Amino acid sequence: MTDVMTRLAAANPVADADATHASLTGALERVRAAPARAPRREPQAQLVRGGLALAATAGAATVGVFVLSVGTGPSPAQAFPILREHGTDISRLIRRAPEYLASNGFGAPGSFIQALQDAHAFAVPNVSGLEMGYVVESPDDQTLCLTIARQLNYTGPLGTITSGTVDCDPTSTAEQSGFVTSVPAGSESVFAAIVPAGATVSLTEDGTTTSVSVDAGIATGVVPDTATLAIDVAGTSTSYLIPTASNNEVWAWSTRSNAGSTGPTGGSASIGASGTTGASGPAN
Amino acid sequence: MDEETRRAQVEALFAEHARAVLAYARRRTDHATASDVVSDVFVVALQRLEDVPRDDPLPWLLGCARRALLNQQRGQRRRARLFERLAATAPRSQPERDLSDGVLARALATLGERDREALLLTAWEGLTAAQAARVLDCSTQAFWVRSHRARKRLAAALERNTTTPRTMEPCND
Repeated sequence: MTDVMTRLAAANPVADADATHASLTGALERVRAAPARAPRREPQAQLVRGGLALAATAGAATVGVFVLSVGTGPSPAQAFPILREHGTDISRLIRRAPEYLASNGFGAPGSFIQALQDAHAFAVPNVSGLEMGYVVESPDDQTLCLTIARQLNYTGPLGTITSGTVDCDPTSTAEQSGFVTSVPAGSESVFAAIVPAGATVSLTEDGTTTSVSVDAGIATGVVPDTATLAIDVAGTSTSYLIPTASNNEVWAWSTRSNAGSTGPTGGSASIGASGTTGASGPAN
Repeated sequence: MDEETRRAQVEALFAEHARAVLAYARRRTDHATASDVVSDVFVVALQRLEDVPRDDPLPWLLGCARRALLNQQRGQRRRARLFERLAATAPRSQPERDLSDGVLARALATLGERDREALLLTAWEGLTAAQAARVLDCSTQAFWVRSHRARKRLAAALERNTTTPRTMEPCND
């Protein structure tokens, strides 16, 4: 039996000395960026919105909203009630988002890490692994972003791939008209919209218009074909086109910095290649 | 305790123990996940500093690392199920270095997670029985029992794996 333990000790695959301080730099940065106190967990039931059943465990896809602006007018939390709810850490799920946002002129990557650690969750339709959505408010919020993400792990050089869409708008614009993003979900598209308090939302498909429930400023649903989402804010209506699934652009990146490949389906932090999809831009 | 003090104490913990936590994680998963586990552990330490034993924090930190790894593995299994539906392939996160002793690796794989940890915490992490018991959240006595049983199971599995399959004798009717 001692031989067993001796053999086991001799087989130790990683010596303590191999765990260098250099490989700990990123971990230390994440610890430094974390809040010193854990945010209070919100009850799970609060995550179920708009009559949508929360997916069980099937998927890892995610919808997120990033709020990246603070203006001098009403605070985003006043305009978007979901921002008042307690946060969830999605920094690992969407870990390349800070680099992407920085490369698109939204500031230094470090300023977004804390924002990603304080995301506000909401449910999205349980289609093709879609399960939860999140709202994130950064300390320097100038822009509101919506993202839809799906995370897959690969063996080999690509590591974990996160793919999806992201759409951004100035917070002031979002307060006036809200905005929408969408992602392919099989043959359908799942959309999520963030709308200001008091807004109403309707969906037009094949000439038929139905109202979409809004909960805490979030409206979400699934459409089988091209549809138009209308957001009415104080009597002014803005329409957004939700394209068919095949027209939805996606971004993707590898969590491994040495992945080497580029382009929207395997690039290293290449979210910008098709990141701000505009997939749900205002319809003319 | 004010925030500045908490952060200073956690930075001191990090400086002293992060390498051991990283080594623990790297022995069990890939490098990227191991780095995530380290940050998870010390974020938990930052937010629950009052729970971290001051005299010997390493077992507490390794216990956090073990739970973080188990959570990661559960998440990977969920993602694998999704991936299987999409690509008919199940990806898995592997330790960055496989055991060179393949027979031993296969024998270890036959053990349950707690049995395996009972052996590895002492053989690889160099913990005492009392420390390892704290990682596994059990009494020292229970740890001894589990460790003893795990050694017997590992020895038996090694015996099975190293025994040359018996050659079938031809039938002579």
